[in-house]
Amino acid sequence: MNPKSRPGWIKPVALGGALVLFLVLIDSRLGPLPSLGRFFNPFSGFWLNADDGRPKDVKLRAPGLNETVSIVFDKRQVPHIFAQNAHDLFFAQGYITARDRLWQMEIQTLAAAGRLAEILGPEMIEHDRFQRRLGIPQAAGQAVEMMKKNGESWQAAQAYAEGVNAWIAEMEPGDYPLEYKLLDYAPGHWTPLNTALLNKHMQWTLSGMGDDLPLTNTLSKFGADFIALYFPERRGDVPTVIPSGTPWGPRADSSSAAGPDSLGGFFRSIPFLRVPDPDLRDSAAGGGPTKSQPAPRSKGPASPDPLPVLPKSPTPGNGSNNFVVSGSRTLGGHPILANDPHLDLGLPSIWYEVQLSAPGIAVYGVSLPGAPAVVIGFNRKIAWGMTNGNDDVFDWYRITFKDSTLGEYMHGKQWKPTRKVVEAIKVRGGATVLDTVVYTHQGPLVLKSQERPANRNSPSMHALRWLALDPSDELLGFIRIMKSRDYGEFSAALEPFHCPSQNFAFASVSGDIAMFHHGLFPRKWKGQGRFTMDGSEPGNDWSGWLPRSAEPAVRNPAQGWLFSANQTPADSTYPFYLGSGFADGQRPKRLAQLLSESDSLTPDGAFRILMDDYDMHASELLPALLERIAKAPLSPEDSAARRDLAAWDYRHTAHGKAPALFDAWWRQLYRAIWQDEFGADSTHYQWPDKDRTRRMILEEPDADWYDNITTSPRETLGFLAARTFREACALTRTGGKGREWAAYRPVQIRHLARIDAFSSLGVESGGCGDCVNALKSTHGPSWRMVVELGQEPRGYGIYPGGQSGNPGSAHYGEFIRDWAGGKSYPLLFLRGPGSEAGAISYRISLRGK
Amino acid sequence: MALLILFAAALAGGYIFPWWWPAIAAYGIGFWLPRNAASAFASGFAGAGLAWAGLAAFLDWRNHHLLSGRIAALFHLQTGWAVVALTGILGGLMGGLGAWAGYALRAYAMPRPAGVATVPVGGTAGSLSADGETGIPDSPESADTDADPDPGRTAAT
Repeated sequence: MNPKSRPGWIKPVALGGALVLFLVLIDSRLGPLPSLGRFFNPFSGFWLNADDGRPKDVKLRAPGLNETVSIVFDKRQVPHIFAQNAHDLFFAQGYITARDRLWQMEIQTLAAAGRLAEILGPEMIEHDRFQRRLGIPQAAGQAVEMMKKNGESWQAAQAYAEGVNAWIAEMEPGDYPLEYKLLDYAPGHWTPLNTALLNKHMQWTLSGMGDDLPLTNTLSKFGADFIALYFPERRGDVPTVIPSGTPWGPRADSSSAAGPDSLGGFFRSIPFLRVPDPDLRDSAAGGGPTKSQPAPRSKGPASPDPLPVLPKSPTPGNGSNNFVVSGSRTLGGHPILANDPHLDLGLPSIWYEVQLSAPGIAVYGVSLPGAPAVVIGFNRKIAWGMTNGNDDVFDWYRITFKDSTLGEYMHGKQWKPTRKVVEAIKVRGGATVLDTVVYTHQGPLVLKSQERPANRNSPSMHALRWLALDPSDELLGFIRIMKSRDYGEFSAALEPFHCPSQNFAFASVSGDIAMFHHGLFPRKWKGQGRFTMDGSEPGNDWSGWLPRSAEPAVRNPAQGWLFSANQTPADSTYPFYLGSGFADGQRPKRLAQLLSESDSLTPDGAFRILMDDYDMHASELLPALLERIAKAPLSPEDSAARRDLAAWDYRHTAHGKAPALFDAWWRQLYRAIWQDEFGADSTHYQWPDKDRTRRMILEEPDADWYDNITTSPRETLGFLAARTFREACALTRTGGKGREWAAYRPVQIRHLARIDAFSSLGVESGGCGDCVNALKSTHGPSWRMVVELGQEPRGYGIYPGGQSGNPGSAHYGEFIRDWAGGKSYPLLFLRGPGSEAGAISYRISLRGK
Repeated sequence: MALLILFAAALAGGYIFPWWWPAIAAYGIGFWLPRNAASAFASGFAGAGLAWAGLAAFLDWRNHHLLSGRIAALFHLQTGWAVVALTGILGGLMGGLGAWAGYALRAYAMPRPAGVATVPVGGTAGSLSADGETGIPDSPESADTDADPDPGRTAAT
């Protein structure tokens, strides 16, 4: 090419242009990709998150501290924080938690606040709108005001925030956690509001549930008799959290004990509520036979269209276990406490292990990154653990508005004004979206007419009454709990803890064991809030609260052991209605069996109970089902599978094949029984649950429900069982062989942003939803802890993650393998920063001014 | 020579300047040192690319290839080494394009005086850097580059 044939300036300009173009290209974010230039830059991009795993002892200045704080890290990277005062303790907890978990801390609170669109762009607008409509940001603001009034929790949250911000200030952009670089944004300023938002997030996870809407749809389609028969409020054969026979009322130990004689008087002093809505009462109260309308099989008159139900967010079947055994039934003669909260499994883990020590405080346990204090753990005198209470504090009211402005609504035969709050949703790369949230006195109108938010369950034109929207200060509860030294202090410490209600298991070195089914309970008429309610009827409103002394609780029962597994808290003699969403499955039955059989428990034995993989659903159902297909014509392969299943010991071991076949069979059969009755829009209805369906199979083998109403021949249970067994064999057969449980049900511990590369997928472990080790695919034991309350409490624990939140660190998922294998670690509870030097990895000394 | 200077500049400046620093450094060095377009691009690519890939490889080795494996999965690459290579290519392209553009400006703004003799040499990065050190005069030889000699060579060597 002859250079003289074109002007000479073209070349430098074209090349300069190409250079600029290239830089612009790798500077911009293309779809989900980060800016390649920024991200790959080895001086400040992701390469700086490649942790070299060589921590060194360091001394840092942290202006804001009053005195020097020593933080000692053990071999598992658990910080043991030693401070001279509470302020410095929580400052250091915030500082070090932010160092290890900042991205997780912030993204959880931004999600709760409905602020994800600020970071992730327009596709998160509907998520954010839903959070605002739930009223969560407003409620978090009120919770902050309450903390300010209480003082102690406010000071802790403030000090924690100072610590988080001290860490943030120390970082250069190159030090930001990996996810900030990937999503290309910077950490914001941390305030106590973030801590309050985290609490709202937990309240949503644990109390934002219920099946009011699908159950209401089922009620209107099948009638009250069907509900009464197939949705029993309690199962008779599942032991309650508080053992039967426990007296209700003020406990003998409380200072204001009135004595057993006055119990009747006590309960008479709490006015019972009248049931206001006759339509609801019939079904709500468990199906009075007043309306003898037979359950219509779908050939009956058309029922109204169901309100759409979208897949629920808080997982149904969320559950946990805890138990306490008194010294009389343990080998060492000391009480043993165990707990495994079942939550969505995620990375970074929901838990962060920590020891906190300051004058008046010495506690070890797991904390929630984003909140000061310890949530589940032990100190030198007591240990405690929690399972979700599952009480119904989440109710829906149908609202009649005067007109489409939603300015006034009917209540008690009057038009009353609504309250409107305008929420501004900031959007990355887009205009701010304004949304008006309409409040009635019950609560926010979550969905306006015809609105369909993605992936949530809520009826349109209904107001939400939810306890989490009332101000409360659970943090104050946790701070007092971790300082408690005995039963009395622990019981008093629970007072500020309102929501979500929990079964608090308690044990002390002085030998006490106890269980509190604790929370703030609205005073309800029987069945109130089980279905959606008429919001114009004042009698449907919550009216006041049960006094603390009415809560189901027990101390040192004669049987010597207590447990909870989210089941019904109290037997039918308990006079108040707490809800009907309790998890009366097979798990509590199995736990009770194991505990009643164990009279010389050891910490190891307690851990083995947590790992128990025996499935009582299968053990009760399978023999009867196999009976049904004993004579069914099967292929040689399917016959062999039937023989293998008959020889199964009902244990969900990782490498067993029978559990996969059984599970597939059950799922096919359950669907075959109910799908036809509920029809094409079947997901909008609540189906009779697993336990009721099993009982039906065992006790009502000739029920009408086995017939497929869409076909003319009449199907029987035996026919369905054989057909679905063949289907299950085909489903679980790969390469001519049955599939192993761990391959059929791979455990997936997913990164919070659902980034597969940062997730741990295909973890192999046993357990099942009905097992004590309730390990499902993405949900299960998030922290297993056993504490023996000897002279020196000794703890053992493990969670499926690691202390570091950095996917580039060896400590990111380092416990997962041991967790899956059922191992636990001795928890190192240090006396002082200098003790047990051999167990220490490194130290950080934080100096104040 | 240009390669070594850019390598050093990319490393030293990387800790101070934004991520696009190698492009700027290469532009200046491209203006200043090379004798032809091919050597400008090659030394720019190699200098910045090796700086980025080298640092990445060091960080990767220290991390036992843990993070590079995850990033590889994120970008659907096979191994962590591909991530190191991609890092090098991104740095290299910035350096190469930068040096070439710098060289082109120089060639336009300060054209070679007519009649200066040229001696052909190889156009690879390695030989170019050796050229700089030994002072052997170079020449544009390849068909894909313009025959702009480097008038600043004497000053540079």
